Amino acid sequence: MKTTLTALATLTAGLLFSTHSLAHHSFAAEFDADKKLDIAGVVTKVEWTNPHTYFWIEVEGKEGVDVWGFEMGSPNGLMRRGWTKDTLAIGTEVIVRGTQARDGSTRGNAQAVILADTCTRLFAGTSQRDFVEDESAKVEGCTPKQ
Amino acid sequence: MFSRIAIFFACLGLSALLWAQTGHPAKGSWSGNLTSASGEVTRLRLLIDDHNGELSGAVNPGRNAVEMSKVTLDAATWTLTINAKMPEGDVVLTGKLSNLGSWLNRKYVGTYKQGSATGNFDFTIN
Repeated sequence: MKTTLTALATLTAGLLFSTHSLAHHSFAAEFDADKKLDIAGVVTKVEWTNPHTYFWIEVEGKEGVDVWGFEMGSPNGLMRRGWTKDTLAIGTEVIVRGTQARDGSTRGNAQAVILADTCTRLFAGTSQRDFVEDESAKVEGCTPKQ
Repeated sequence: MFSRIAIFFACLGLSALLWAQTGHPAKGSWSGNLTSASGEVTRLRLLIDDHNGELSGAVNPGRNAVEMSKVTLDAATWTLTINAKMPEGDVVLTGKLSNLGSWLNRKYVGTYKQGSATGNFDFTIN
């Protein structure tokens, strides 16, 4: 009985932790560094989860609205870069620069998020190894809306 | 000793999942369309919050947000009514929440009235 209980408890704990492990992967396994994205939309959802933070935007297209989902760094990593839980409030207009998923779906890895109101650029803690954050570079294609 | 540690971690994991199950069914970010009787489609986003059962929120949250003037839920029929003073005129959305157990496909479907115009709406939680 004791052995069965121990095995059951260990299995349960293992299953729970496995979901976190599955979410952790290499950049190259999921995203294509050659598929550059520069896309504007409105934030509809943010999930501050480990090991990655995710957010979704609605993008107005010619044939309606597309929903794009983006992966960023860990919540702790983003907070160390100055992000707060209110940085990407629902309804915030953003321009996202990053790379698209290998499968061509509307998912991507964000390198930088530009707040459209102020043209403030926030680095998104991408896991792309050769990405260099260049804070001196101009935020092109953005005119402050306020 | 090992079994106690294993049970402790299992309980810890389960408690985290249980914690995530709380929340008002209307609370959250919703996206959808209003379709007028003449077929004109207007995209809208709703952000609804809950303060101890009292609902509030905004239509099109962001720079051009419009605060909801009144949000009520009849829990017996899951009928949610939203009033907002939009620039184009006061709007009243009346519809039912469904798929309440769904995390990603919860729906808010019904009819709206804005001045003399009427139509249908269909929102899905984001």
